[in-house]
Amino acid sequence: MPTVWIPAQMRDLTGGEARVAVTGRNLREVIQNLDARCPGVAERLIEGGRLSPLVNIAVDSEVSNLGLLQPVRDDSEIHFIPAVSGGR
Amino acid sequence: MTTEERNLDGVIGKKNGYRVVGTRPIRHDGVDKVTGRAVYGADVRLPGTLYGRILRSPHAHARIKRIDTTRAERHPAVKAIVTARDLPRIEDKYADLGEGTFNFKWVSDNVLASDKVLYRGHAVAAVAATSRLAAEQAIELIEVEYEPLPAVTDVVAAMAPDSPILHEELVTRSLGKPTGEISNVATHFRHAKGDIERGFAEADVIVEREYRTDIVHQGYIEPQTATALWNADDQITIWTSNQGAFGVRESTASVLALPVSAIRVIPMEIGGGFGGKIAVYAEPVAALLSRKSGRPVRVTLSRSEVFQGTGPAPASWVKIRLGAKRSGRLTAAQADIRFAAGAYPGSAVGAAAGCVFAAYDVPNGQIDGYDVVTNTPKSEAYRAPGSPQAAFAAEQAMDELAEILGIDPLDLRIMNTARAGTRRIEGPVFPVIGSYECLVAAKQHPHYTAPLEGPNRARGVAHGFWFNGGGQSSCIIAVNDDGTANLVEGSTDIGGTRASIAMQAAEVLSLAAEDVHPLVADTNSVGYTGVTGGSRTTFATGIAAIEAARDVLRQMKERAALVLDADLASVHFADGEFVAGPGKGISFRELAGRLARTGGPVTGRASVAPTGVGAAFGTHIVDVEVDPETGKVQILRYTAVQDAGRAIHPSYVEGQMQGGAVQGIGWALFEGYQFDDQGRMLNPTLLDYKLPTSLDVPMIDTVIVEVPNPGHPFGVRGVGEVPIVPPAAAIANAIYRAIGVRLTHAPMTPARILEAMGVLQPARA
Repeated sequence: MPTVWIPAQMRDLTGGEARVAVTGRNLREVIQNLDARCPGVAERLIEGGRLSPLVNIAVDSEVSNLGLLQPVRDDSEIHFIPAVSGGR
Repeated sequence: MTTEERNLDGVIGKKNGYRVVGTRPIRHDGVDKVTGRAVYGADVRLPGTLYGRILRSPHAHARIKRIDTTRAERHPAVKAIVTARDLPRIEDKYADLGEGTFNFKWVSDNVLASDKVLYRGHAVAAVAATSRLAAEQAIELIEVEYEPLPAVTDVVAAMAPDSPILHEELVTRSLGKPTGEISNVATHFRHAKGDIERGFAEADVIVEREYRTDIVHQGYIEPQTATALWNADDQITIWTSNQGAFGVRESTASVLALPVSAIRVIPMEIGGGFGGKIAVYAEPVAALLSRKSGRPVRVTLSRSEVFQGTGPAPASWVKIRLGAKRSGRLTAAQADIRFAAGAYPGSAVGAAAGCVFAAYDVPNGQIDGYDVVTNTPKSEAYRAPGSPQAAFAAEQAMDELAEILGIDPLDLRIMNTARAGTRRIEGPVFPVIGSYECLVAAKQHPHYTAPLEGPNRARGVAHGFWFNGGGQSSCIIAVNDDGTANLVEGSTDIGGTRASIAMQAAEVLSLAAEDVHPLVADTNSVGYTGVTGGSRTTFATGIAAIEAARDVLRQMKERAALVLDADLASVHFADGEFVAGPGKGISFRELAGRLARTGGPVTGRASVAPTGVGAAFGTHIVDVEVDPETGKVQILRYTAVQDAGRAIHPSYVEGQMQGGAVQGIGWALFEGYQFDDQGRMLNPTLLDYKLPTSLDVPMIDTVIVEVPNPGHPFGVRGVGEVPIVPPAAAIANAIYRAIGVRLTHAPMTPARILEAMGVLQPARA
């Protein structure tokens, strides 16, 4: 099952858990399933049905350029990282 | 992985396995550049072109009460005047243009201020007139009534509860979570690994210090310039010198609320960018003025406008805390990084946080980043955005730790270096990297052990990291019937990328570098290509060129099979020849001459968005002499070591290393915006803002380390940015060892050095 590494500032949504294993074949499914367990995650990561432009997602240490369509493997590591610049 | 394992046609048995890669041909644009025939943005001359000038705010922070253009409109030479009222209202819309995320709502307000001006130099109106003089006169006739407001230019002051607020609607967000708090802090984020408290508890030695860097400008020699023609059919053409024609198209279309297909951007030669020519300033203004006047309009900024009205690197405040065992092994690393984003959110603080400890294997780490708006020009990318500021702090802390522990500063870094498999504090794991190899190469370099005698002289070192970028790129290769090829690409050539990209195509096609003719095309002539920035171009556009060349070979093999009367599967390409068996072959050149009679022209193409970006590391050694009476620092010797993965054209890799080092010397010793208490920049000319000259720097020695990047067919890593990362810290470390005083504020000017030595009292608090 893919493992999502939860950033420090999202651990209020995971009961303090730093890593959560969730099912999913791609990032969209992973975030949906994570949100089902930890409500509020999707709201922070997704805007208008797309990955927030202020967040980069690294799958297996490679920053994805496929957004929510990025496939993940059963043993994948997923990291949410603030975009290089950003803010609003 | 070797080249052969990747089954790259045409790459066998040559020097280092390559025929072209690693050689030093003369650049394709060399003659035009050295004879003055290269055409830059300001060289564009269209019939009837008007001169555009921009009126800028005299206040660092003020509400715009009224703009009256009546008197300017009566000027007989004035053909158009625009203000923010001519811009459509833009809602939040983000795009990543290759070296940072842009919110076009803020971009629009930065192009022409609407209700408030947020820095001195903020554009408020623009005029197009039949002469430059008339345009200058006309902007003086525009009456703007301001309500001045208190200004804040310092990042720490801007975070104070009683600070003036720039954006009344700005709510601090924390990884997408609004905090509900109105402040100048746009974003706060945190990276964490391990247990930071336990890490410091386990440490035998802890060092802690605060550091600052001032705003620094990219200092490109060519000011921004754009010529726009808004045609009667609402098709717009823009000639501009920018780091990415497609980025200009996207930004201008977004600011003007137009489809990208309405705009064609023609990239001109560019006189430097270093990250500062990604955002648009003149382009939307020139387009609006052209629409109103019906004529082409050129807007060219003055040097003073470049300093005050475009985006420099952000000022920083950084606090570093390191813990280590007596052995030197790091146990904990903590950073608090605050960047002055300027007038609108979006500094490089995210990148700084990713860079600050990236070079080291830190078991317990915590990094907090704050993106803070200030009444200064909106900051933009500058060569390894955020990393020089982070390294100025972290690499001095490493030096301090080495001294306390009595360990050689390079040995301490070697002991703690990140390697393949090291997990970074923000989470991902490094693939194959060359951090260790750079440090060892520096340690083994004769410079490091060369005697350095004389008073007030010392040696310093520092190490640096940059992510490098990937992004989208496109190339088209057409085969000529004389056996050469034309290569069309979308990457602006700033640092020799025509050569480095053409050479990669030439390698695949077994052609000489000179037989591939590169052309940087406009946005209607080639597929989408991201900016030349993020050290991505030789990597990503290089892969596009390789794939386009492979596409050429696939088609040429079909022609060869036809000509040789052979099965396609039996045709192989090696050493410039298509071979279908013993004594059965045809050269690339001969086959190229027969294309017309074997099915017509052959054109290869590729559009890519590659992963597999290889990170870059560099280690610098510097010798300095400090004059204790004047505070002047003389650089005596400088050596830059860097992992290039694979140097496609070693001369241009060395040029990047030297250029980055020189710019870093500018950060270290000379460059910085100075403001008065009203937020007015005091040094907005090249007379007062000192850039390093040939008299200030020695020859920069270079050592190219090659730890091939497995994510590129030839092993390429981006090389343009990381060499600006170590210099300021290396020089600070050398100064400390020369005079026994640690300089924590860059630039380390003579005045600051004398203040730190206690010779001078601080000029102001």
